[in-house]
Amino acid sequence: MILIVGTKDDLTIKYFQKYLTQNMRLFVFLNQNNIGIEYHLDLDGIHYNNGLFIAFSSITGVFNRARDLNPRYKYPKKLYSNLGLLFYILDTTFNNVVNRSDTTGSNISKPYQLRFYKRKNIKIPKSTILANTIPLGFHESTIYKSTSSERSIVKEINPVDSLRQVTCPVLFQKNICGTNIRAHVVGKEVFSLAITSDTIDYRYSKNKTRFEEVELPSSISRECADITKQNNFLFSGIDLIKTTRGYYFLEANPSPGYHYFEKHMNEKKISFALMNILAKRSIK
Amino acid sequence: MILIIGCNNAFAKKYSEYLGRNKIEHVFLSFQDIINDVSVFDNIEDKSNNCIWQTNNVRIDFSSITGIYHEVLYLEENLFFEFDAKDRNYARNEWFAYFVYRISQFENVINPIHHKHLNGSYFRWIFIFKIAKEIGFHTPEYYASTDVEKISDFVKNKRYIAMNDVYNFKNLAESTAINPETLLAVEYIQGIPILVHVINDLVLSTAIYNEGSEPIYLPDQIRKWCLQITRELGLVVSEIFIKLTPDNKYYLYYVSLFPNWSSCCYDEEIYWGKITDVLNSKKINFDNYPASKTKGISQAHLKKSFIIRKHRPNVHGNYVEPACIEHQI
Repeated sequence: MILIVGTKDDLTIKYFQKYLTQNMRLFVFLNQNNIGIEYHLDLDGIHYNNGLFIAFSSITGVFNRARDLNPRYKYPKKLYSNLGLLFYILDTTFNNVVNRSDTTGSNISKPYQLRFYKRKNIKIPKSTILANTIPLGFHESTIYKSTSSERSIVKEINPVDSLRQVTCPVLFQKNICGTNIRAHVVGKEVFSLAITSDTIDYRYSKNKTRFEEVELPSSISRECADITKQNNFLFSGIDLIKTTRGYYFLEANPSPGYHYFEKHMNEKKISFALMNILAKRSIK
Repeated sequence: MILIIGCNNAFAKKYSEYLGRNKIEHVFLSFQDIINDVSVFDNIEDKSNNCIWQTNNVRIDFSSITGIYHEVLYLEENLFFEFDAKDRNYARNEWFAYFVYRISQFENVINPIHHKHLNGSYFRWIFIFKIAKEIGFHTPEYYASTDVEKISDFVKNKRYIAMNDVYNFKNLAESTAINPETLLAVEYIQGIPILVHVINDLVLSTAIYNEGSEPIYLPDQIRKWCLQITRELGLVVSEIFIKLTPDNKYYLYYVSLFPNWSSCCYDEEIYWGKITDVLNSKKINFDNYPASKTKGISQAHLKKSFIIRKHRPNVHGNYVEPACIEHQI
């Protein structure tokens, strides 16, 4: 049985649940916000209020999209500590967790990832972090974005931006002109899409964005799989840019919302690979 | 030069004073100093990186830093009180992300930053027990559950310590009741509390009695295990809490990344001296680290950009535009 952990409004979870249902795979969903309300956890398993018990030994794999509680909202104090126990269980009880929270620390910092993930063939863009200053002096086309994992809309710096005060650290990068590539790695398998858009950040394009399945050169695929393995991820979504000079690394997401991309693929290859990897025996 | 990054707490200040007394070149910057008054210029390229921090009166070129003593694992929200309330969390995340990157570039760091420190794994009590047991330490029995009734069943006829989360291990007093918030019960063991301070290969052990504290001899095996668990957790410096029972068993309760040096009964020259040796001992871990030379940005920018604001406006933290959560892909 596959264990799915996260929140009920998570679109990727809903998508994967639907896929498992269509393929008649048994799964159980744990709503992270209902620990201690709908069910209790201890180190042996899940105890539902109605008396049902699911032993962790019966779980083959975990699809984990649980995340820290949004600091903008207030939750019951006990939920924070309950989540601490949930993360501990996910990190220490199973082998097949996509992905364990203790492997995802590098996602906190984009520059940390840049230095950590550079490879022989995948290059990193020239990057500058500025804080408490004014971003003058960029002579090349430059984009900027958040330094942390906070979502931000990637934009190109313009003359007005050049005069704005930067307070918190901001990541400026040489604007690499090329094709956006999203490579999803499941174990050793790599599924890639080329994405063409009229904006720098294709996620926020108002016009039509084109997606096309592509096969990456074997050296690049291998390095994407390496990056994933090096971090003990079983699943990652790696953003690259393909140029005439080669491939550039942007970031690796350990909890990718892959459903958005798979909808543009001919077959549900990522879901299939995930289902297979999570169906293997998991308990440590 | 040694860089100290920390809270304005007594330990960081004392270490700075020690370095000053011994005429060892260093800079001490509190988080507040950095967040409010340090202009950062940090360049990352395929084969090199270089970094300059500029304050009103100090210019720090990171190519001249030999080691960093820091307390970057959590930034308190009150450090960001000058930001608009809605921007504080964002500001905290951005500074934390930057500190993690900058510090991780160095080999000589007390303590090195590791993935598992970042997500809190290493602070979970039961995780520490698991590692300690594998090494050979005795560890107390424990039971963790979100169901308080089950915890109450576990502690019947036992002496125990009740915890409200799996992280906090500072309060080791015996408990008398389980409360609705309790998540973890740990066996309370009668014995002599011992605080072990590990600095690289140095082990300093202090027995704590009601009348005061004094150095205590630890068997070689226990000293070896203290060094081993420190290394397995990716640390250079640690504080380990052990209980020595009347039948001569050593029970490990916790390992902390941030030692409380005031509990160490040895002369401060010993531990500050050892820390300084560590921070001055190795080469910087940069790939082809160039001399202070900036690329991709003009020297004119450097001069213009490092204008320190005399008055800090109540600015928005968001230079970048945050994205909506619905767009998370």
